[in-house]
Amino acid sequence: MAIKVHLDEVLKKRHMTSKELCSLINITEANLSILRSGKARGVRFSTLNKICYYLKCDVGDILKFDGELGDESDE
Amino acid sequence: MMKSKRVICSLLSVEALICLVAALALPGGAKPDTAALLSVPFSQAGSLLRSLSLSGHTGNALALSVYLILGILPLSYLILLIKRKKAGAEDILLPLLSVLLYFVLYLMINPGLIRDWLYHDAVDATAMIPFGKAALGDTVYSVLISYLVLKAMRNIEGRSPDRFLDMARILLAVAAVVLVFSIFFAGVRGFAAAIHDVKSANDSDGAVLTPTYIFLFIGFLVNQLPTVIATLLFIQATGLAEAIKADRYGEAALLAAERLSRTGRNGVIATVAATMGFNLLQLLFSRWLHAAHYSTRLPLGAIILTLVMVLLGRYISDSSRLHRENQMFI
Repeated sequence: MAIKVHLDEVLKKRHMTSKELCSLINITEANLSILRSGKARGVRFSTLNKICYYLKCDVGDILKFDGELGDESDE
Repeated sequence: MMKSKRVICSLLSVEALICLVAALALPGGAKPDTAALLSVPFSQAGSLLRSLSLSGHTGNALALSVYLILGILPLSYLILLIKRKKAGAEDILLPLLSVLLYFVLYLMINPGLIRDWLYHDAVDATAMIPFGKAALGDTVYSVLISYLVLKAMRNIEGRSPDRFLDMARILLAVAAVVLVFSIFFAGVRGFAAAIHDVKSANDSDGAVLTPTYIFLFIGFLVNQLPTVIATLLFIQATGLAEAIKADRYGEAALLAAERLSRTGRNGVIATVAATMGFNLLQLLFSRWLHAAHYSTRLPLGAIILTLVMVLLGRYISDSSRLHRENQMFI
């Protein structure tokens, strides 16, 4: 996928575990795992809002564009 | 097989057996007495109350009490609905039902009045009493069924999907029960009556009737085929309703919809092929037959139902896909 998820790096910088983040933003660990692995089809603005609020970061810190056009088989 | 489908299939099998035994137990030419069926249980209630009333003072008082209680039941239900603030426009039929019950039961208790009320101009009015009882019973049933249908139509709106699916399953099961009765009692009786008619009409001239009997049997099967297929569709539809209730986006619902559309499609093909084949066979063997019945069937209802099921299957498939995609949005 052309959009990469760098959530693990941000979690490490903030010294927070994924379990703690899940309880803060109220999503399941399974869903967070889907997001971290890049398998998610999309992210809701409300989820991004909460992640950025609790990790005190910007959207661009979590999601980065690698310059490629994404594979349509991902759709 | 889903639990409710298994239960329905078992009950229908028992019903089919009972109907078959009952149908075969009747004398050969006897046709189902529809008039007698329509007057049940009013005729029996009337006879019972009459006997009770004529048995003495106590019996008479008891009969009057039972008569008053039976007639007031629909009105009491209306009062209950009003108290619970659940009354609807269709409940206006309940007082009518009470008045009708009093009237019909009174005539059933005094069957001589049926003759005076309904057949005062008839040549043999007394012989018409059973038909009069059937007419009265039919009238009560028509009001009752109208009330139940109107109530069901009002209840469909505003119900939760699960409650609606439960209602659908019940209605489909009831429809299947009626169709099984139609096949294994009315259908078998009709077939037995046809055999009896052919036998009576051709007994004296030593005719060979075996080919006619065989074709009557094949004709019976061909005629019942649309009803059998409709029964299968209703049974499978209960399974679909159960699958949708459990998980409307699940694989089971999709498979059930596909199975239903497949049955509908195969049913339409089987019906037209069987009708065509039977007509051709009758024409080919007409020389040896003492009775033949040609028919043309356009199973429009079955075709429309099949199209609806195919469409439903597609919608369920699309909904499942969208649901799965939606689940992948975090």
